[in-house]
Amino acid sequence: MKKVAFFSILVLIALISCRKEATRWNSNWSAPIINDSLTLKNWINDSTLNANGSGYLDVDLKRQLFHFDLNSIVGIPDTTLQNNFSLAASLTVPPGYSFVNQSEEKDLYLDPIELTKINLKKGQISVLLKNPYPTKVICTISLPGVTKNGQTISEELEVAAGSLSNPTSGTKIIDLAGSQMDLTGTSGGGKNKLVYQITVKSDPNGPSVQTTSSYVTQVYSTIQNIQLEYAKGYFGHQIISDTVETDVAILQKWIDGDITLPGLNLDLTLSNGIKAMARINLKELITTKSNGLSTSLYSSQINVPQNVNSAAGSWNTLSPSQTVYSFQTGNSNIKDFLEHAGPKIKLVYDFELNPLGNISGSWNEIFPNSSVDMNLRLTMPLGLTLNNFTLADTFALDLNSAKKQLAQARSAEIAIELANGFPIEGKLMLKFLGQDKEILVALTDYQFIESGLMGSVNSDGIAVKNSKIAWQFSQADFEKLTSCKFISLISVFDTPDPATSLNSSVLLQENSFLGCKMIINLQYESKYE
Amino acid sequence: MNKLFAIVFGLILANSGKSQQSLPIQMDTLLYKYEIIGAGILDYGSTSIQNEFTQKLIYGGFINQAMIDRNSGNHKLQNRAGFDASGEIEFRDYTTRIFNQDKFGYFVRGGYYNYFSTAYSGDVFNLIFNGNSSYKGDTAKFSGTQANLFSFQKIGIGFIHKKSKSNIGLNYYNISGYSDAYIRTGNLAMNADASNLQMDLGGKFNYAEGQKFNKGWGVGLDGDFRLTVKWLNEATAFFQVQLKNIGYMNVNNVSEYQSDSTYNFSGFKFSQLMGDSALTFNSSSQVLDSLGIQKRSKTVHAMLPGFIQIGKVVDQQSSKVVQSYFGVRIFTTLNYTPLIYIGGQVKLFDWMKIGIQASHGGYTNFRIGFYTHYDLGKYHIGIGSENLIGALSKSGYGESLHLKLSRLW
Repeated sequence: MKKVAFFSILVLIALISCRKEATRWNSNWSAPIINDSLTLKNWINDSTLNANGSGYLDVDLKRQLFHFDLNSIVGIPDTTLQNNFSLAASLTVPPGYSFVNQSEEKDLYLDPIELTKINLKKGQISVLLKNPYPTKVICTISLPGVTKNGQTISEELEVAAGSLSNPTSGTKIIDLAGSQMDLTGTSGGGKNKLVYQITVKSDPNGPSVQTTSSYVTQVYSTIQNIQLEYAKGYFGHQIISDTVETDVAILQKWIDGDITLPGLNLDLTLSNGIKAMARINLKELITTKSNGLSTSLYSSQINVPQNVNSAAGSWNTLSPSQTVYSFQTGNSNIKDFLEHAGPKIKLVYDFELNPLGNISGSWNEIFPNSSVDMNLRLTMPLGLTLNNFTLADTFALDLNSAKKQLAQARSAEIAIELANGFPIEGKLMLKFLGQDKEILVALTDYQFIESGLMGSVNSDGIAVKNSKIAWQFSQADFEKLTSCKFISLISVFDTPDPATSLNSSVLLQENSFLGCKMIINLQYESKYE
Repeated sequence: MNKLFAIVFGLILANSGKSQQSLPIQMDTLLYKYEIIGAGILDYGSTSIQNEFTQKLIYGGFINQAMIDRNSGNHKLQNRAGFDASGEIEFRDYTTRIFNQDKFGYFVRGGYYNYFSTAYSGDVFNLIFNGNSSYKGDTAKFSGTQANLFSFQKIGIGFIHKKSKSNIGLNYYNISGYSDAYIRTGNLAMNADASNLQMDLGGKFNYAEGQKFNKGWGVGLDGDFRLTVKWLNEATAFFQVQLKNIGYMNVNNVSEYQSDSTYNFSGFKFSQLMGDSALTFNSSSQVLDSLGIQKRSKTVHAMLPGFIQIGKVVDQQSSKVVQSYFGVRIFTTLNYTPLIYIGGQVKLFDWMKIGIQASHGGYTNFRIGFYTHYDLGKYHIGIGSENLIGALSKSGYGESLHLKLSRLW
């Protein structure tokens, strides 16, 4: 009996067994994800759209195609000037003896640019002196044609004693920021000529030293990091040939279908802020779609040079000249060009400065706010006809970090309620892609968003149609989604006429909107170990 | 026999054994030299969650929807649940004279205690196990929800009256785990299509951070006082006032999360999900800030979850075949309603007694209990359950196992 009692105790204790598996249960969760409206209001008066006063919108797209300023036209590269000084004969140099006292005029070699005067925003002259003499020397560098705050620039550099075999080096940085530089040279009639004076003398408190003609004092002057804020002279006959290529992301997603635009006007305006004559030639404007098909803009204005007037005024009164290219349906194929626009739009041009040479008497000028700009302005009513217009957008979505959560998801429904206030009909399809863009999960049935024109008119005068979309995910889908690296959304748009169901031109209204409410209903397996 | 004693003793301690609190104390006025006692409890219960469900929570497995629905139906506006997993070992020396008096000996005692208790609304259960979808067009209410979890160990010393076995001791505690939550105001409202969620949340949650075993300390008293009274037809009856872990604790590095906000969420704006203005959270503190939840670190000074039991106990030396016992039990800081119990012990043999009892309160409501007690020479063994229905049926509302083992010299 006693043994039975002990045995029963052991059995009871053994019943308090360890956990064998995780506790799991399924629960159902619902939550809103998105509640917002897409409108065009953010683009109104933002260099893109304008309200035309009658409730509709006009496209008024303004963009800059290219821009170059003073320093890209009249740049002064870093330049090093070298001077070697030596005595003609052997002699004993007493303390304070002047070895060198020389005025130099150096050419900045800016051909074809011939400058007579410049104002510097930034810049330096770095002076390096190598002293072979066995006594300290004192070097004075003066720039007679360079003034800063009304004073001529003059700096001293002391270099310790050296030797013939091992000269001592000393450096000095002269800051030129805010200085004015006369480049007419010692004669006053030259171009690109910088005058500077160098004196080198032995230490007044040092010893007398024996020298020969082998003792050479070397001075290197490097003009560097120059940024101009004003330049005067002749800027040369320069031709700037360039290609501007834009990448319009939205057009990269256009993979199929057509778009028909209303009448439109495209202006390309060259603004010249340089006081110099110029010439512009738009050689080619071409667009290329994702499938490689290209369309060129044809017009009598293309590849025909146009003269560009000099800017007027100076400094704060500077007034750039304007040269306008205007493309309409009557003088070009601009409508066809834009209806077939691809993500790549390429502009090839030549900008020629002083095409007739130096006819200004070397009186070209560039001021701090001078620049040459090409600006685009596209104006048209915001209306269009869409015919199976298909956009495909693929973006990265790595769900590997949510692997555990996805493994516990059992099913989900993403319900989207849409209030479409645009006269556009849409169909949506969603694909989840793997590393190699292979399809993991495809919600293949196109979900239909009816055109607002199929609905009723609200208090703002906008025709609105409500639609519902529901995407279902199974447990098997969630298992596949753990490998998801990309998500692809394919949208197909049409503009059907409610009466005929045929696609026709529609105008977008100022208050057009797409209301979206997205809600998720998720069955999830909760688990704890 | 000694080997078997050692094995059983080890198992009791390893399994967080049982304590003497439900087994009627065997009032024994005989004099001994030494005594070593091991005791433990594994006891959980609920007013509303049946064993089929609790066993899945404890032992693992899949809780199916039918089980969730059955237990959800059991829930009322306010519900309780909790567990107690505790063990003690004690050595008594009756040979040493304390205070220069022959009638007192001393004891040393060690133990460990794990308590969890909660008071919650039926909506809390539904939210956890059914999710929020069932509250479309409705409001889940969880104001007044409380939960706390304590884990601590103690070592103590005291003196004992050799004949009555009354004793009192002083303990030092190591606090190894502490958390405490109270939701003063809690409502989650959804509209019919789940397109809008509104949550009122006012409350706080304290949690002792870190992996250290020592998260705090405490001091407290144990006491066991035996009183002899004249009782009805029994010539003499013994009453016991038992105190355990009545004291103070100090828990360091406690993170307090406090909220007193109303959240309204109807979905993100497109600009919050993409573009330059998209929401980004670089740290958990940014998430808490965005929800209006304040976090601070503090030291908690609080009462230990102490135990008090007052009741009549049975007489070990009595020649009567049947004896009664009854009493009341409370815990000082847990969501544990006062438990009253009443029962009777039958002496089947000189070496074996059995008892049956009824109780009401604690973490659950009405329970039937049962125990057996063996006097095997120098060894005394008690084993019992305060929840016989729970031990036999998956429809019960808890399980209970109490063990006690002692050896006398």
